Amino acid sequence: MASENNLFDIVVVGAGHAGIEAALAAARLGRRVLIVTSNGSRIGYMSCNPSIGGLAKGHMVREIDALGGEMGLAADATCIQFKRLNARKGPAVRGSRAQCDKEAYSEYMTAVLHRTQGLTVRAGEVKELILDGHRVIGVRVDDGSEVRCGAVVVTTGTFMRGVIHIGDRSFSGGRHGDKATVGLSDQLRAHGFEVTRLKTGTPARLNAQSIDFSKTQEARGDVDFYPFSDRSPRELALPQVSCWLSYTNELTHEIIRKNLHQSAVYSGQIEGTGPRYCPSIEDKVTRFAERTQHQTFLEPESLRNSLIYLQGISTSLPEVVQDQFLRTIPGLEQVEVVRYGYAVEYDFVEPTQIRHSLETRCLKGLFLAGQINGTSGYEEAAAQGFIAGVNAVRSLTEDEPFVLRRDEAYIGVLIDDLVSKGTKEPYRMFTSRAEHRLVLREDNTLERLWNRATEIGIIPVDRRSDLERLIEQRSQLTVLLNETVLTPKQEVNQRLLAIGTTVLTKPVRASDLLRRPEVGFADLSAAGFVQGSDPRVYEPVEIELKYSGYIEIEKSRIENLNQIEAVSIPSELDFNKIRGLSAEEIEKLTEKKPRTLGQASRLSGVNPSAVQAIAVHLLDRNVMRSSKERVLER
Amino acid sequence: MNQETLRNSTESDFSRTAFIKSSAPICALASAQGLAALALIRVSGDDCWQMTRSCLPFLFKRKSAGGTEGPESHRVYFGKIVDADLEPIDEVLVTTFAKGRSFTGEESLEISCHGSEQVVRAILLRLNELGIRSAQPGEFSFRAYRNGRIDLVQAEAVLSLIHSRTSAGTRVALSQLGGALSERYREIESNLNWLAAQLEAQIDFSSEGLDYADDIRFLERLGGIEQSLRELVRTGASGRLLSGLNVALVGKVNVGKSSLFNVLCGFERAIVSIEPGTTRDYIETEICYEGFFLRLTDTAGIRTSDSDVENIGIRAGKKQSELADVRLRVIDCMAADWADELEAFLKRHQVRENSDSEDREFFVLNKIDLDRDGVVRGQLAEKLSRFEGKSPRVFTVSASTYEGVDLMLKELVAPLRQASLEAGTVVTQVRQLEELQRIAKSVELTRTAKTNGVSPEIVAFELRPALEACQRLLGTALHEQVIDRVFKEFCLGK
Repeated sequence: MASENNLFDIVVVGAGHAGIEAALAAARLGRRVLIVTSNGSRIGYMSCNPSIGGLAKGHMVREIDALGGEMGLAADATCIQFKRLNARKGPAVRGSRAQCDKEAYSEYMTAVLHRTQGLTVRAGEVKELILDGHRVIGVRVDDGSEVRCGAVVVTTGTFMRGVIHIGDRSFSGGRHGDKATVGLSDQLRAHGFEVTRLKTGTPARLNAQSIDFSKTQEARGDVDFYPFSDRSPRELALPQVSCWLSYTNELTHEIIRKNLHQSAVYSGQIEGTGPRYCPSIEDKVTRFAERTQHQTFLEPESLRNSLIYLQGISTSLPEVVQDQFLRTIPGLEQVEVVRYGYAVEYDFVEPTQIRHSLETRCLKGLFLAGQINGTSGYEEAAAQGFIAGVNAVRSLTEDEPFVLRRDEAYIGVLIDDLVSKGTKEPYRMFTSRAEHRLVLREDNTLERLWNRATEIGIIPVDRRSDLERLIEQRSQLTVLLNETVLTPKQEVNQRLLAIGTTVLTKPVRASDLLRRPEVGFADLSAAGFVQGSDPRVYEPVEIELKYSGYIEIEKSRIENLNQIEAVSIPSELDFNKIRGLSAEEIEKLTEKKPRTLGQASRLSGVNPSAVQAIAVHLLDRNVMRSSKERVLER
Repeated sequence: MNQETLRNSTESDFSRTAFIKSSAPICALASAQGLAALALIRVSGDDCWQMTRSCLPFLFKRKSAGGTEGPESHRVYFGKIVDADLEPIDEVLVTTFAKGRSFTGEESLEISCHGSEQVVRAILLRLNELGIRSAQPGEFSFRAYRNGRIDLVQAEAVLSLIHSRTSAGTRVALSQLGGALSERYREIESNLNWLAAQLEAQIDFSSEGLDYADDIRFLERLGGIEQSLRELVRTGASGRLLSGLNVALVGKVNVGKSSLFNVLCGFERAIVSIEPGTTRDYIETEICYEGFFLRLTDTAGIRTSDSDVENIGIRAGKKQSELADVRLRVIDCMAADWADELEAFLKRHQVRENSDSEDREFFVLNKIDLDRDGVVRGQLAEKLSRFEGKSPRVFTVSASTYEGVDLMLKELVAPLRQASLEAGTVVTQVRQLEELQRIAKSVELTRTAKTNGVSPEIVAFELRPALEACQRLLGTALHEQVIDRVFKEFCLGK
């Protein structure tokens, strides 16, 4: 065994969206990192849809970026269509989405991994964890070599015991063209982990040359580009492409219905649960039989190839049937399928078995991130990968783990949901999962996570000063708007009428003027009342002022909740010793091990009175501890 | 969007767990539930003397030098507690405790009032109006503990006691006091979830070309909720639906339903005559028996009639009897067919027994005073002798001599008494009413936001407290309900 094999602090298993962020975070924190991937040519590969971001997901990309992750930079650099979704649904629920060139994205990530100091990429399959009691001390790779390390981050995606289904055929595989990982999940099972199955699906990939786009509607991206990262260039790097909208019809549905028995999902071959928000076309025509059509976007996957991703039409029907029904869709009459749609079933570890640090409860030094925890989506995976990487590093020195609260970030909501509630289907983020949605906006990501990012310490110094300047400019603008007072002079009122608002009768601060519905910052600036033209600076300020009433209420709700949220429950607490808990509650609490009273209160089957009983118990411990301390002081 | 409607005020929203550090005033009935001569209501928290000043004006004396003088600690004051219109609710004794010298360690009051449920409810509601919310189970003890007034063992003892109550708590109260009520709560919850699902789908799945309900349908649903809430709050305030039992008197014409009704009411409410078919409509009244409310409905006797007006009355009466929690089937014991009626009743009883469904029918043999030689009683005893254990609810009464009426009333209120013992009815009800008012407030803000065309995230923001209050009301958890509903209503998927 070569001695260099022993030189790693952290081993990351898998080089998908979770693995990349975990490895980069750890390496950037100065650790020696080995990333083991079974296919070195598919690093950061977008296995399904060609987009990064979207509703609630765009938020997470910006959060990962603000903390020092890579996903936002990569998406900005490879974007071939940008859209700001929900632009008119309110500022908090806006979501940025970048359709990316899949090949360029993977190439970008591969290059970043290779040039990052302290990071080694190796092709191979991790077959087994090497354990010392309940601590992970290394991994065994399929070439027989062993790698020793202080912590392991497992990000195997859909690869653990992955099985691909098309029609009545099924075969082992983690993704089309890649073999599954076998062994790791059996080992986890043997150590008492609850490992069950989930399924997901992907639509067919089509050859653009065989499509008659004239029969579809063109869908272009936005004119304005707002990069995910404040560290990215402000201009798009790649030329922009259009997507194309078409619809299924009754004939499509009839073919699908007639062949339902041949669908892997419907013939009962699959035991895993699929996502409700991403149903197969079989599901759609069955569950919503009254619908006469379903929309589908034809999305180019790359500038370098002619693959088209058929959004919304994931299926596991046999190839022949796929050909048949696809050709009923306008534009696809002559379509040539390059790769057929399929369903994939894989092992996941019930996430209530991990802590908020993403370390498993029963094996020290083992961190899990991404689909292995039951999530779906590149952004959800990357977010967990980043947190797992940071905490794997912290675990080496037994530092407190880095945990985001639910009112700080969508990433906090994501991990808290997984850890305290578990999941029954592939978990995807929605804005509605965040109870404090109004304060978790894309526009204020930098401000709300600045201190937390500093705590982690990944953002390089030269970038920090740029970002600090941006924050400073925003706060200066807020001050300026509050200090600028407009008086009801005729000249002022004329300018106000010109921007479509009403005249003043008494002096008014510019910030109050901005609270008028019909007045935007751009108007004030155009009328010459205030200076400023950079939306990166004025947009967050404008939103914060316009919605201050709601934001204040939201903040007071958060404060109320945090009073209890903040009370932490020591991990060694024996719930059996607390009087007033029912047997069912003791069982639930012992199993889920809530970290705070807030989490305890969110567990199903735990009554408010039980939360109070725990509170009383904890209070007593603290009272006793502080009185002991007082005694010691004397 | 219209920013005029944006809210600029800060309010502190209620959270079920926020009491941990709070010392805002709270109130609750401190004495035992159920019938008693006196009841004790405890109020504790910062500034509670001042906050109750408008309902307990006698605590403050006008000084000769001008200004007023507040009460002293550890003194008992006598006076009238008054409502918002300064109308007296009750005569009470108030004991005052200064901060640091009370059970909780906070400024406190103990109001001892008369033990009737109405009085207790009215006082608690008045305190709520003054911004003093109902205490959560164990909250007084928790505060006492926090302020070092009691030790942990005591606090835990209180908690485990409370726990044994609350786990059954809301649910028991809801199910026992009337399935109809929890059904209405559930209906409100379902409608709120539907509204939230509409909003969330518009936000989270905006690009999927879904058919959302338009504003008209949205506001219609909202209106439905508002209507239900108004009804519930109104009945809640007067103590009807929230604690009463609906009792309908049914039976053939001229069996003496109205006479019995009058006896039960204690006054002549229905026009009684010996001519069959006097009651042409239904008459409703509310009585209080041993501290429990009964809502009585006297229905028009059942017979075929040529009169349209009478038929309308009969139909209305029938509807009432279907809605009732308990039906008193009144039979004239001097009528030739009373035994047949009894057989039919016993058959129905048997069916219900076998299907394990609730027995909600009483067989009331009226005019028993006319059975001077005891023939009817004898036959009755014989017919009932085959029933062992749980016997059918058959009563012999007389509207003339009042014989048997008391026994029947006791039987009627028995489930209420049981529920009150198990769940603490008064407190539960007042808390329910508070939650209903929270829902109403939130729904009102939602309507304002929606009609002003504010963005859906703001509409959803206004709706959220209603959803949370509703779940507290029903003891369900928010978790994924709304998301589940979105998946149920809409065809989604990329």
